[in-house]
Amino acid sequence: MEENKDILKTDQPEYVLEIKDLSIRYDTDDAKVYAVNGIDLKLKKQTTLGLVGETGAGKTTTVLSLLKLVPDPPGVITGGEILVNGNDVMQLSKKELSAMRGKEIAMIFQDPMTSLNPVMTVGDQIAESIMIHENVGKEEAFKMAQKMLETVGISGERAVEYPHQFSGGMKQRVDIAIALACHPSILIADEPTTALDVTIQAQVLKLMKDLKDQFQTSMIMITHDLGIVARTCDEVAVMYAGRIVEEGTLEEIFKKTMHPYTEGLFNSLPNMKDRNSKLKPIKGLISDPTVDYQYCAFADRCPYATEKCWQEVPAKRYFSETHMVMCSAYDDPEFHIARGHENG
Amino acid sequence: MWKYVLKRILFLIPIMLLSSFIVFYLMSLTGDPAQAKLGEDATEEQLEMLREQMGLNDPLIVRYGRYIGNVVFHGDLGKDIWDKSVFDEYMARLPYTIYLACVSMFLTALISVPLGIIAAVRQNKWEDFTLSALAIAGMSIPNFWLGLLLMIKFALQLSWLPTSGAENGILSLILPAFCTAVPNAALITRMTRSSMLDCIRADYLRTARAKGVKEGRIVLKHALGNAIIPILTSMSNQFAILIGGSVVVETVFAWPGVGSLIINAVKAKNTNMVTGGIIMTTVFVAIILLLVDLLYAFLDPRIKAQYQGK
Repeated sequence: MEENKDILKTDQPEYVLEIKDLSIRYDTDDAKVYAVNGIDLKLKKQTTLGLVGETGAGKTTTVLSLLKLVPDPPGVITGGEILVNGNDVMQLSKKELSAMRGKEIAMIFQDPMTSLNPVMTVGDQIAESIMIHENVGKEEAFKMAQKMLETVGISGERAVEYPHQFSGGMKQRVDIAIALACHPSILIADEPTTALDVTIQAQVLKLMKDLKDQFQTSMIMITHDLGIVARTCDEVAVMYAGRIVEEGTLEEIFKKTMHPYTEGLFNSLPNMKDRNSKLKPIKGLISDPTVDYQYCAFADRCPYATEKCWQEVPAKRYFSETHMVMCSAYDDPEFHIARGHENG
Repeated sequence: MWKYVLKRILFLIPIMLLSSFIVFYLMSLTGDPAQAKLGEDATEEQLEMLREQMGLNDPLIVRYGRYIGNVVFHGDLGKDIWDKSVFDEYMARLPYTIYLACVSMFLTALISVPLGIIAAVRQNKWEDFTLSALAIAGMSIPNFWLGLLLMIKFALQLSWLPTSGAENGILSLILPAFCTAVPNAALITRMTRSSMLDCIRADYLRTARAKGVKEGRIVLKHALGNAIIPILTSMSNQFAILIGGSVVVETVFAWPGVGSLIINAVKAKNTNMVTGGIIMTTVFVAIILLLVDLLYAFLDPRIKAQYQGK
């Protein structure tokens, strides 16, 4: 497997990851599902980007496409470009793809209960990745796997055990060990703590953050939990109906929220200052993914919607170098959302 | 682990007692062994004398007790109506049956597992549809008819293979083994397909792909490693049935196995032979199923953990 080494470009551009105008559709027998509709995304070295949105917004489809893991059929990448360290993922051969997966980009999946192979020891599962990407033999790979287990806080002796012998939180640690075994430059975490106990969540998040710093990895954190975003991310992209509707630094998104949908997400959090107040969920249901929206998909749930919102896809508008908002309401220079203006 | 094995072996005892009693009882309903032995011309006195001599006038439960006592304490399955040792007769035929069963199972595995994998990997493509049609055909074609067709083609017309008997070693075995393998292979192809499909959609395959594991290893190591367990269960059941003797195929090809021994004994009202044969078959089937259960422990660590009570 040594031939996998060094066949990818290694010169480091400014961004470890660039997504340009990416669109992905699922063609099923019943309908076409427009999962991702022309998104742009850039990830700087060693930063953590939070990808936020409701279930069905296209977050997982987006990141699976980075590894070319969107199930095909039914998934079709209908347009766009994905550059990982300057390599165009769509143009990679099978061999190059295998060299990239796990080495350039690694992924931690949502459910640790099902993401490990039940009939392989955890040590073998970590070592498998090492053997594919590093020029080492079986024994040495296993030793490195044991070391990796210790890095995630599990005794190396347990490498000979099987997944069913570990608890959920421990399995997620094993998943992290597999993902980080070859020191990838990008780590994707797809709701890594959703399936875990609240008490374990904090531990796992801290572990991921520490290891990310230790290995100098860039990270994409998919979540619908704004609390996790606040704790782990440097930048945030908010997705709705396959589009990134607002993007910016953590501070911009949290303190200078601009998109009505982002505001809705914040409003639906419990209010810690006034515990008796009711939650304010976003009214209506998530948009229908089988519709190819040629207007703002959020318009029918948006409290600020005007006629214009139904006529065209909103343009991208930059309020700072980093802060992008896709909302037609800002055509009116006087417009502002209620959040941050409650008292003034 | 050994505790589990011991438990399973002890569990054999009630199974043996129950199945032998059922056979013994059923055979007692089928007619008079004394009559079978002496033939139509025997007088009533001769018959009565022989019945007394064979202990046939005792109540059923006494006869069964005497019989099973001999089996358990002397390892003696008794003598058949021609005064030949049932055990010796059975053991003389058993190698042929084992031989046929092993070759047949080998063919089954060789044909069906790769085809099942192909059908799963190429789900809803022409390969899958073709294999499904073949599998349905394989399951529906009667064994004896397929046997006769193959015999006409390969033995009579082409003269490549002997028509029947066991005198030509492996050549004699090809047709009967193939005939018994066809329906089994058809079933296992379908099972492999569905079992593989369950695994192909599993999350851990996505994890493996995300590590950069190549597609061949994904299918053969990660998917098949998990899919093999239910496949093995079905194959072991099929093997157990084959050890009991494939009556139809053995008859068509005049294969001197256990199946034809027992069916001939039934026709001749050779009570002891039938009972003894079935008891022996039960023992072998139980042993095979036990071995397969133990094999699981090596294939699936979760089952091993159960055995160890962890």
